[in-house]
Parts: sequence; structure tokens; C-alpha cells
Amino acid sequence: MSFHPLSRVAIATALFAALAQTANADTTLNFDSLTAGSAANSDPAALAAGISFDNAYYGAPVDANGNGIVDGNGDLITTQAWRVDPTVSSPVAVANTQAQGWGTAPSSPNALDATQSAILLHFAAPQDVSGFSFTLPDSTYGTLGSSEVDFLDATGQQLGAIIFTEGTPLALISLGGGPILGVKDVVLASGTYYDNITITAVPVPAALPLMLSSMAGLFAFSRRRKTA
Amino acid sequence: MKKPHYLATLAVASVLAAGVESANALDISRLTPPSNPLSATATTLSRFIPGQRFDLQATASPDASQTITQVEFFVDGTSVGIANAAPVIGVKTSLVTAGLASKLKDGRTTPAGTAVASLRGYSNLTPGVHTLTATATQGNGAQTTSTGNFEVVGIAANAGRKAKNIIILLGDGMGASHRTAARIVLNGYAQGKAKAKLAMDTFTNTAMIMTASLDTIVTDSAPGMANYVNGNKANSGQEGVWPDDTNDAFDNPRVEYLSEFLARTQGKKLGIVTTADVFDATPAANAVHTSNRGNGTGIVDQYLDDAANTNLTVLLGGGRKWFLPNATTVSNGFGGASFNGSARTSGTDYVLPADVRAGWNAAAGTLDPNRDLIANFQAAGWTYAPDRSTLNAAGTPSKLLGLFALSNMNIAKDKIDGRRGVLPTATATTKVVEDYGFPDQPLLDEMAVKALKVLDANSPSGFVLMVEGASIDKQAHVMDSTRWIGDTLEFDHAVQKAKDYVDGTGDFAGTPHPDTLVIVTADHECSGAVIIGASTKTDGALQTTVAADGNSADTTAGLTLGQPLLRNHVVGTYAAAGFPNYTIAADGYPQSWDPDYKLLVGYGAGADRYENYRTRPYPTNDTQQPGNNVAPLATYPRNNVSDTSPTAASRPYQQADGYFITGQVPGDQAVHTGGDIPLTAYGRGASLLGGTIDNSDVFFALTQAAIGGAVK
Repeated sequence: MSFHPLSRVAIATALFAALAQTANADTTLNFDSLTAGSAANSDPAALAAGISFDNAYYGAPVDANGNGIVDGNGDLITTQAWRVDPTVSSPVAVANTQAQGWGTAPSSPNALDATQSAILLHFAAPQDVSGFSFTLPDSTYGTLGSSEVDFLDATGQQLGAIIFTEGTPLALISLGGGPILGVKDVVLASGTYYDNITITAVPVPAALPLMLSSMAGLFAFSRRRKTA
Repeated sequence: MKKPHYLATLAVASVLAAGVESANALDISRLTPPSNPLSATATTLSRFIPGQRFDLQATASPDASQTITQVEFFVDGTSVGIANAAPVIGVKTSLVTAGLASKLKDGRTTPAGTAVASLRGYSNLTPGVHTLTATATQGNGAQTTSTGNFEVVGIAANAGRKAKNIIILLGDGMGASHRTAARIVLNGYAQGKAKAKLAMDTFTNTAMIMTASLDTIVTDSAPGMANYVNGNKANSGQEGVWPDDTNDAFDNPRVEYLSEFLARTQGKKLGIVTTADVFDATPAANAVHTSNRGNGTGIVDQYLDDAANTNLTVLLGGGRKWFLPNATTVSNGFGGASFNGSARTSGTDYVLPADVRAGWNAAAGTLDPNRDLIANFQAAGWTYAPDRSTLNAAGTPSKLLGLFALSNMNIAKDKIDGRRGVLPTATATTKVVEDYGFPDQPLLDEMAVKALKVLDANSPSGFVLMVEGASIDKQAHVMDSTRWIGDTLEFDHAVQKAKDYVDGTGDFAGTPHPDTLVIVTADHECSGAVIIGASTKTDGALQTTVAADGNSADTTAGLTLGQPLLRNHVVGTYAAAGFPNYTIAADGYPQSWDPDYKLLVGYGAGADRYENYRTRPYPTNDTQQPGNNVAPLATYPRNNVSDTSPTAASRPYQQADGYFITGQVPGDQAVHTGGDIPLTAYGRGASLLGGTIDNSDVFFALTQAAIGGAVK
């Protein structure tokens, strides 16, 4: 079997890209290329990394008017979980922290505005996160007591958390310990601004377990056919 | 064992009791925050949100010939501070032995050697009930301990989006009947239904509020307001503090206000708007800490001196008398006479002890009756508006002070009559607002719009705005039905402006602010006002009847013998009341304050008075006005039917032409009542308010919305 040289280049490029994606490359989001007040989802670095943002809340599901939702039996659904807030029409925005009275952003001028709402940071596909850090604004403002950045899997189950204090000016908050596997969403607690969000993550190798389970199934099927 | 004779037992007990009293046993007579034993229900505990600051305090008395040398405070068994010295700059603890009250909380004469120990600005982040223990030590090493408790109420983090802005619209003294009366007057009824609702009626959520304060079932406005914005009960007359055992009204143990907490943790701004004198209890109980609501000089000084703690950005109302240097002559405008327009005195000023300053990052204060506070505000970057025209022209400055009268502003009815060019009587040559010397005063809704625009332009992290309709209460006190109904209408117009701000309508068209929580409530009901029915007379017939009946009694033999003729001829009850019909002018107020078949109000908590059902041409003499004893205000009627030396000026004007009603309370004014009052809520977090709740519960709903958020 032979390949055209151009095809070889193409395959090599694709392999390199795949390798680059699976290596522990950092994504850093500083939101500084955007205009203050614009949607965080238009941040080029976020777009390139397949990251998006939504306003979030923890609770039972509601409709756009904030009213509860009933199931097929007419019973109110009361399951508590992190959810995208459907009552909000304005998207998650970036803000100039200096203009908001919260001091200069660590990476000036902008930071991600979570002052009025918790934010769900979505990965396009589950990731194994080995690094996650961010810097707080140069201000003593923020929710008193401990706040959390929570890592959720695709079903909303919490996999891990960073616990921190919001009112420490310019604090660098980092994930400690080993990687967290299979992260689909990250909850950024409300009450402060987030800047220099730096993520080290690789996509979960989803194909391998799928292939293995399929082959096992085929193997079992063929075995049954033979003995039948 | 032979039982001792009971008389002997009694004698021993008496000796012991006498001995205890004379020996002044070592004890702690007061522990603050106030609390019950842990066996009591938790809802009576002092409660705080995580991180909210408050003072710990204990009053300890020693054995005879001893002195208290130190008091140590423990929370959950862990020492949090030792108070063992007089106040020192930069130190949050103090042991005060001088200037103590003559009597202790339990009524005993304060023993020699007694000390009041404080730890200022304490806070606790852990939700749950905590024990507070104070251990006092006297000179010989003997100790005594007192244990209380407090609760930190958890806030559900990230429960939804936050309320960025909080608007508290407080109709002072506004009970359910005040609302209903305003609705009847403004909109009328047809087929038994209101033709339209008040703005405050359109709010989505409603709660009934219990209004008692720490010391009484019937609160006054100081704790009535403060309870909403710090979550804790206080005694009558107290603003943002608990009672203590010292004479100083500015050293009482403090509780952090909503405005202070949100300024400190989120950078929110504060606006205060009132139709009262800005030193009055309701406005002051959003920003100032004192146990005496009457200390106007110190109160208004603290607005400016501690503005960095509250982020006070807008202050609009009356009360210029506290801002003018002492002995400022105000001349003319009041009929040619002149008088001292300043009320500043050293006796009502403030100087803070060092421990309070350290614990609260507060200004020291000084006794400065000659201070030019308006100039000081301006020097601090505030724009000053002395009248409506200047207010309108002010744009949206970074900080805005408006003082539109020497004390309380004029009542809506008199302001509107002033704008309409209506004179009080056929023989009068000046309008009421001209008699006061302030013919160009804004209405509450105009002040509210300006405050919202200034705050909106200057508060990227949000704001807290309190808007008070003050004279609903003040005119209910003097049982002037027309004027408190007029002020309730004025207040509801301001409510509409706040709703417009949320919805992006009216003055705020196109710019909605859905992240704003608005509540409309009252600190208490005033006067026991009730809608008893309507007049059975046209206004012309009513005047004839008043002239004919006066204060005379029915002399006809039968069931009505001895009853007031005027009352029986005028008051229509049940079906005879029908539906009063007021015509509302384009300015939003009744075209006539005395229409035919007018609405009638009774006063369940009224004082002795004379009633003729017609609108009083002049408002009742306001004793808070510096010029109230100078012409022409000196001739304004007073309300004291029990005046022991009645003069033309001090007799109630209506004494001559109405019938006498014996009041339910002593004194010359109707009083606040202890009934629950309605609260309505709108916007982000409104769903957190409902049911029958305590006024202090509202604080925890507001903070949940502002700190933890709410989905609806």
C-alpha cells in the first residue's frame, strides 16, 4: 500500500494536530481582545478551544419565566442540579473591572463577569483536566466565606472542586492534586470576576472504550452463533 | 429529719436576699447580642448573615469593694477577644467604667466598679447556632460567666442570578387601609371591583409583616426600619444598635446595615430619599448608628463622615436645619420675621469612642455646632440641589445632595396645591409652600426618578435605594385623612417609577433592569386608620350640616339621644356608603380634595380630636420646623385638644366646627399600632418574600437575593 506524497503530508499534519491536542497544551482566557460588555462566547481563545459560557443556577428546572416545570405525570420536577439559567436573556459578558470599581484586572482590561450570576463553562466534549487556574481582580470585594469552582461530568455529577476565598486581591487560584477525568462543565461561583483562566486538558479518549466494548459484543455474538 | 419552720426559711431567704442586694454579687447583667436560653425557640435568637459585622458586649458588676478588671468573650468555647482597658486608638476591645447609666437592665442601681466590656466589629462565617460566653474577672480574681447565643443564617450560594439592585419603598405608617384608601381615591370602583390597581398592588408577591421591636409590640420608626436592613431587633428610638448600659447614644453595640455590608463586599452604592427631614428615623436607620433618633446633628454628620462605609451617593429630602451652621438667620419668606434656621447643637452631636472607630472604620466625629455641612458635602464632591429646579438641572452627578426644606418637606397635597396655584382659603394671600418658604419642592416620585438615574449612572456593581413616603405616617398621627391619602398617592407614584426602572418603561423606557428587587412595605401601621364608609352628603350639604350641627348632641328622645348629630347625619355605612368617586387631574391627584360623598376614615388608635370630615385648609403645625413659632407658621393649627392654656395658636382649628371624638390613647396624636402590615415585592428575588413573616426576616430574603441569588 502506498500513499501519494501529498497524502502523506496531510496525514502527518493530521497526526501532528491530534498529538498537539492530546498533549497538555494550555488554553488561557484573558478576554482582553474583546470590548467590555461583549459576550464571553465571542472570545477567540475560547472559541478555538471549544469552550462556551452560560449563566447558571443550582436548583430545580424552571422555564424562561422562572416557573417550575412539571413531568409527564403533572408533578413538579424538584431535582436539584446545576442548570443553564433560562430566565436570563443577556449572555455571559466580559467587563472592564477597573470601570466596575473592582480594581485593575490581572490581565487588563477585561475579566469574565460572574458578579451577578454563577457561570457554567462548557467543554465541547468531556476533558481530562490536569490544570485549572484563574486570578481574582484587584479588589477585596466578593462573597465572604468560601466559594467553589466545581467540575462536573456530562451527567452533572460533581467530580472535584477548587475551594477559595473571593475577597483576596489578585489571588491566583489553582487546581491541586491529580487530574480530574471526564469533565464536561465547570461551575464558576458567582460574586467575583475571573481572569487568566488557564486550562490544561485533553479530550477523553472516548473511542477506545467504545471500540473495545463493540468488539467484545461482536465476539460474544459470534461465540453464541457457533454454539447455537 | 425535722423540717425547718417555714417562717425560719423565709427569714433566712430574706437575709440572703438582702445580703445579695447589699453585697452586689459579681455578675453579668446584660449580654449582647440579645438572646434567649438555647432551650428557647431559635427564631428568637439574634441572627446574622455570614460575615455580617456586629458588636459583642457584656455589662459586668463586681462584688462590693471590687472592680471588674477584664471580660473575655468566647464563641463556641474559643476566645475571640479580651476587654481589659479603656478605649485606645486602633483597638477593637474596651472596658468602660465611666459614663454608665444609673440603673442596670434589671432595675438595680448600677453598682460601683461596674464595667461595660465590648468587642467591636465581630463577624462569623459559619452558618448555625453559636454560643456566646462572656467571662468577667474582678480584682481578686473571682470570675462569673454568662452564656447566650446567636445564629448565622446560611445563604444558598449560586441559587440563581443575583439582585444587583435593591429598592426599598417604605410608606411610613402605611397599613392595609392606607393602601385601600389611596386605591379608592385614585381609581374608583365599579361593579364592586377596583377600576385599576395601585402600582404597589401590581407587584407579584405579597407577605404579611410582623413589626414588633425588641422592647414593645408597637414599634417606632427607628427599629421599624432598621429591622428590615440589619435583620435584628432593637429598642424604640434605636437605629442600627442594641441597648446598652452607658449614657452615650453613639457608643451602643452596632449591627451592620445592608448598605454597609453590600458596600464592603460588593461595592454597591446607597441612596436615601425621603419626604421627611433626612435626620428622621427611617432614613437614618439605613446608614447611621445611634440609640437616640433625636440626635440630628450627629446623625447628619455621620452621613458624610462615614460615607466611605455606606457608599452613600444620593441623599434627598428635607432637613436643611441640621446642615446650616448654628445661628444661621433665616429671614423673610415666613412673613417677614426671622429666626435661627439651624438646629445644630453640641448636645445632639457625636464623638465616637476609639474602640467603635477601630471596629467599624468609622470617623471620630467632633462637637461642631458651627459646622457648615452643606459646604462640607460640596467639598467632598457632592452636587447640592436646594430646590426642584436645581434638582432637575443637576443631570446625573457622581453624588447628589438635595435639601428642599428646613425640616420635613411639605405634604403632597400642599405641594400640589402650590403648583396648581390654589390658596388654602378664600381670604389667604399665600400658598402653604410659600408660608414655609419653599415654594419649589419636588414630589417624591420626581426625587425617586432622579435618585435612580444618578445611582444607575454611578453604580456599576449595583445599589441599595430606600425611598420613604414619610408623611403618610406624620399626617396619620394628626388624623388628617386628606393629607395622608395624598401622600400615599405620592408614594404610589414613586412606586410606579421603581417598577418602570425594572421594566424599562416610563422614564426608563427601553432600558429594563430585571436584576432589581423592589419591595414596598411599611415600618408599622399608624393611627389604626380604617375605611368606615362615605359621606351621605354633597360637599355643599356637608358644609351646611357642619355649620348646623357642630358639636351638638341629639336631643330627640329615643335610641340616638345624646349621640353626635354631625356624625349621625353624615356617616354612611354599608350600602349607604356606596362608592366614593374622585376625579383625578392630569397631575395624578384629586381635582377636589372634598368631592361629594367623599370617603370617610376612622381612627382606631386616635387621640382626642374634633371631626368635621372636610379637608383642613392648613396642615397641622409641624413642631420640627425651626420657624413653627414665627409668623405665619405660628398661626397654623395645632392638634392638642388637651392644651391646658389654649390660645388662638395652640387650639385645634377644628375645635370650633366639628364634633368631639374621645380618643383611644392619651396625648394629642394618634399612635402607631401593632397590627401586621402588607409587603409587596417585584423583580429579581421577589419569590423569596411571602407568607406571614417577621420584619427581620425580610433582611435575610434581601441578602439571599443580593448575595446568593434567586431564580425568580
